[in-house]
Amino acid sequence: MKNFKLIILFIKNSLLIDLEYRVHFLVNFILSLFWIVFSILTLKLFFYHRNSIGGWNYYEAMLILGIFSFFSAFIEGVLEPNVSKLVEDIRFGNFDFVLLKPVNSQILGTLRSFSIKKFPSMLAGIGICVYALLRLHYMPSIGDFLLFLTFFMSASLILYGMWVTLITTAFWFVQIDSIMEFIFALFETGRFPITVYPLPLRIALTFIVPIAFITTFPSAAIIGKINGWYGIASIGIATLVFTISTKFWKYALTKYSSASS
Amino acid sequence: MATIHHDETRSRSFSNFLTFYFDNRHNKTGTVFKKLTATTKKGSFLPSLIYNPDRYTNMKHVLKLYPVLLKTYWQIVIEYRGSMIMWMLSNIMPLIMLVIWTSLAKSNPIGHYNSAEFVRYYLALLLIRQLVTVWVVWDLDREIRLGELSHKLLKPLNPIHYHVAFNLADKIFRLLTLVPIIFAISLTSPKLHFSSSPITIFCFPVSLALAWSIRFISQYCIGLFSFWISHSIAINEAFYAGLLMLGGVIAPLDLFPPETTPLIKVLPFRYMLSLPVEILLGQIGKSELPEALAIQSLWLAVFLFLYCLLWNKGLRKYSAVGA
Repeated sequence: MKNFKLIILFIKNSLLIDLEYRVHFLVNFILSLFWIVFSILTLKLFFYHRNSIGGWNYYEAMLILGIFSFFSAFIEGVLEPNVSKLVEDIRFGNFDFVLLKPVNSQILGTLRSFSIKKFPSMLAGIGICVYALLRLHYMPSIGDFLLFLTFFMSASLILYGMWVTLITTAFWFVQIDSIMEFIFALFETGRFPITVYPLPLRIALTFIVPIAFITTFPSAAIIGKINGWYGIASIGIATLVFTISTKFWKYALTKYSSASS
Repeated sequence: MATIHHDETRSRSFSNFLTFYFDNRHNKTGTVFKKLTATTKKGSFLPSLIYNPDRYTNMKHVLKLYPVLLKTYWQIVIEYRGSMIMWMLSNIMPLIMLVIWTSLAKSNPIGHYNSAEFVRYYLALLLIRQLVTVWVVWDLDREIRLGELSHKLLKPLNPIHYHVAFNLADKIFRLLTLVPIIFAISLTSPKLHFSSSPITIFCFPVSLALAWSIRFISQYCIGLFSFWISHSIAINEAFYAGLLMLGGVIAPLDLFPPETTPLIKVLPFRYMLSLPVEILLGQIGKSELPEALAIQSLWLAVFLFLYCLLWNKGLRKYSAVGA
């Protein structure tokens, strides 16, 4: 409960900071709308030549795009802002102060600062999903919706776990921004249905870097295109990734030796 | 979403470091300056002409400085080879597009592209994209915003030449690393060969140089907007989206609906990336080539003009932080 209150406090804090730069807030919002239009145009181009990609029709694929938009804004708004801060803290030895505070160091280290200006893009992502669903004339049943929620929560947890595991490597490598860049680029594959990729890549994107569980499967759930067993698998993978990341974080802490010591 | 642009961004801390690094390193350049200062009298290089009479205004003298500048920046590039290679590998977007298109073209070709043709197209695109990568807007934006431009202005050389030299040093690095690999892949199968007609051999380097110049000068212009506004990076992002879409990254330009063709032909994006690719693949007919190259040159002229305008107006507006 204390941790939850803490996160709310951090969000409030970040909001106050972001509201100080209102024009920046607005420009960011316009830009994210611009990128959404860009993504939809890209999709339109594919469907100009074919009427399905990987077995997904136009509005179904748009659903995936909406989920993708949501999670890429989630990365930029929630996960990424903490990376540069953590790297800097480790480099200058300021991480000592994080460790000294009487709260969970992982929460303080990885969920400290948020970029609230990206939050409207998350809403825009959900907006695309709603639009796509309306155009599909598909009313999700309560079962579909619950399954979707399961996937959705697991996806957030998987992303967070993957992220923590990655930034934890900063305790050894310090300069990790070029590696982050590479992983970010890899996430781009989530823009399209997993079924469009050739088999080896599909396996890699499902089990090694579980991007399929983040964008394709939640979208499949809401239109009832997926077996419930996948939902259980997603809970399993989320638990696994999350446990590994916390264990890894704790292990990395034992390797931390402040700057210049 | 906004993540797309990341493969060409340099992180701020990285380029920041480079600038500091360079400023401690320029002594060698300094001595050349001294030698040449006495001899700069005649001739003029348009962009640097207006505001500082002590500047190197003769293009011949400026060119004499280039070997030193290139050497200095080459050392920086070499020092950061690990990051450089990581940046190059992050350029993954065309590969994703390639996978999608080949999967769509499996049953029957799209336009005149079958799977092998798509591989050939994106191989050429990857090659050209490595050679026209530009990141000057981040450097320039930072220099103007934080006032770092001031000490470059004190030197008797137009600041643009430092950026040009840095970018060219990076291009040499890419020419030596990634480009041979791509060429080697293209030689493995006759289906992947690039065109080697005399027209290609003559026009390709011209078009490539023009493409790089347009890309560089246009991004420099966008960076110069930082004299007035603090969001020039956002303008660049919109411009970059245009390049992805209409420059041939998302799809080969002849796969766009026919009604967009006039737009593609007129806008600058095709001439920053796609045109050299089309020439290298021998896709463009003899009759269309002169027109395309003419429009390309025209765009370069437009951006050069814009650069002169923005630079001269902007410098009057410029006041360093704390001034």
